[in-house]
Amino acid sequence: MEYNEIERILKSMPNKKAPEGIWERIEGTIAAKEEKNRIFNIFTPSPRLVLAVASLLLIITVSSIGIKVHRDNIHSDVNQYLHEMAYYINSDTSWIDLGGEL
Amino acid sequence: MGIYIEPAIIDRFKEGDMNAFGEIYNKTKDMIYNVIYRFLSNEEDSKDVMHDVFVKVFEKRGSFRGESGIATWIYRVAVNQALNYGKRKSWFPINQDNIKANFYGSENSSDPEEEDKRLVLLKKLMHKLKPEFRACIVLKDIENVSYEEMSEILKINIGTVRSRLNRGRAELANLYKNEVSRHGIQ
Repeated sequence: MEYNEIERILKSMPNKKAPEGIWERIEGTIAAKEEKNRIFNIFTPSPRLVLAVASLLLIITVSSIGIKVHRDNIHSDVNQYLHEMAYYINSDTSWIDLGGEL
Repeated sequence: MGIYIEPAIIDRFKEGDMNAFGEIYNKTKDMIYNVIYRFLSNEEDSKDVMHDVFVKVFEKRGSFRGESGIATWIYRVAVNQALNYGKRKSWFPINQDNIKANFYGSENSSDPEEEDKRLVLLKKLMHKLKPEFRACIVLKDIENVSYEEMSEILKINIGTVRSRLNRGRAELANLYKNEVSRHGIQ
């Protein structure tokens, strides 16, 4: 079959009417987007930048506090362990007295 | 594109007037829906793409410089949107039965008994082509768009347009020949 025949069949494709209801959806989407933009634009670029930097600083501060607390806990545990070691080394109690076997 | 829209309406549209945009929509909706439907052959997808096209047109209204008619500009946006949608969809296998059901079940489509069986088959086979080949066939063989306009719309040079069109036509003819000989459609 020649392609001309295929082209002729394709050209016979009927025209369609746009379905109802699309315009209402378009209007709704545009209105929602404009409302979102309106709220976003309440803050001009400078306050937006300040807010972003402040949020970043807050996150860094909270994270550092968390890290510091965790580090202090580790120090405290190590100190306690070293104290107990020193106590046993300095005491007269032998390994046997503590119930150990040679 | 043969659709005239008064400059005053275009000016109001560019200022964001929804009534002016509504007038433009009413004048171009059928033309735009047709080209989208010819790319996608599916009513639900075509409605979604139509919605996205006009939302995009409204958002990008500032970039319309009036070098071409506004209908041509919207047409370009529609073709590109439909083409991108087709490319995204081509990542997933298309259920040919759904396409067929859509053609037959569509409220706007004609009775399958009356509709040329060869046209139904060709619509189905168009989906087996790569989106870029399908785009060239839709624009040239159905929509009668010139090579120059196709080159502008698809952002490829005229040589590539011709080459894609020839390859697409050859592939479609081949698919059609195989189907016809398999099912004996006259």
